[in-house]
Amino acid sequence: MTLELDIKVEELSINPEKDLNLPVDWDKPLIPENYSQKAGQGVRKEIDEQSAKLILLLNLIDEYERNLVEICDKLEAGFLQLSRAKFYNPNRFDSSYYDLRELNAQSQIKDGKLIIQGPTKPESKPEENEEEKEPEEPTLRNRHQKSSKIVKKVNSDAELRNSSFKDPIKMFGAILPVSLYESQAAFKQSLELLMEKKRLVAEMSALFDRVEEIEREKEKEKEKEKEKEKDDAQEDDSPEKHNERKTSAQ
Amino acid sequence: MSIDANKNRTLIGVIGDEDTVTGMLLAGVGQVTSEPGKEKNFLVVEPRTSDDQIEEVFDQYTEKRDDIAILLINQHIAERIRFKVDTFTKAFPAILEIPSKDHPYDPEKDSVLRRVRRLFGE
Repeated sequence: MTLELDIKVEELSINPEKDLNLPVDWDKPLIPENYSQKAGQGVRKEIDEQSAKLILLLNLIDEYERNLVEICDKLEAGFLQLSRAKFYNPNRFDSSYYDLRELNAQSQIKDGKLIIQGPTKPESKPEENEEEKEPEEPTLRNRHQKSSKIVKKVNSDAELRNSSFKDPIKMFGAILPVSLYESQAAFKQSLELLMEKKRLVAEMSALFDRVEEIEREKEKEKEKEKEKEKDDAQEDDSPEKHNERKTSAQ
Repeated sequence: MSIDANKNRTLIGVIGDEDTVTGMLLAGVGQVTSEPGKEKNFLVVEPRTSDDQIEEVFDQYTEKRDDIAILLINQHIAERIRFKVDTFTKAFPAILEIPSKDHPYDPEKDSVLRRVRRLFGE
């Protein structure tokens, strides 16, 4: 069942000026008398230096706390994997296995950035192209001849051994559990987060120093004002001022 | 002059328990040389290690050596030499406290967060 409404839209509209008894210029915004264009641009209060620094500091504190949580999580994962490796291989991954021969740090800081060295791959691309170009020889006939491919592989392995990178995990042996590799990865990630922490600590300590300096300056100014007020009060209470007031009253 | 001196600071030192030092060595932080005074950049703190020994190594890594940029120290070990750690105010090396396997991180003892609390009047 449908209803048909024959109401005209014009009848529905309300004429504001007639029906609501609104004042003249009701649609124009009210501008206060003392409002000026220039002042209007600074509707927001000017933030003093201390407040601005405190706002920056609060943002850094937030970042710092998040960074702390991430560091703790990564280190926890690293310790857990290391404990797992130790559990299945007792007395194997401890300080008695440290390689105390000459060792270069593979993770160093250069120009403020952490650089973690990795294994350098030998140049294999031109060799691979050469291998592709070589025609496939039947292996049965050349069984007793050394193939060039094997010689090249031996050379690349020797290059890897001679390169400056020495994976520190190898000081614990050649065949290692997966959990030890996972522990290594977690500790490497924690190093990057620690670099971030160092940056945050440096920025925050600079801000702390500046905020404390501003507070000290403000306190000094307040003390100066108090002393001035005291001096003024003492001058008002002096007998000369008292006599002046008497004569002016008379 | 100081910028050039700090450019030589490329290493990360570690003062921690065995697991912490093992983990950091796996990450590639360890350096062993025959140069006197710079033999190792890590110290494994065992139960029998005294506070004096820790202090001595801390002084060596922070005052005497000029090649360490960051010193990582377990928070529970830093507590044992808290006075030394708190009174160290130089920019390099940066002292960062890290948790250990047996001692989780306590934010109450974090020097930065303590300074924040002091600043905001707690």
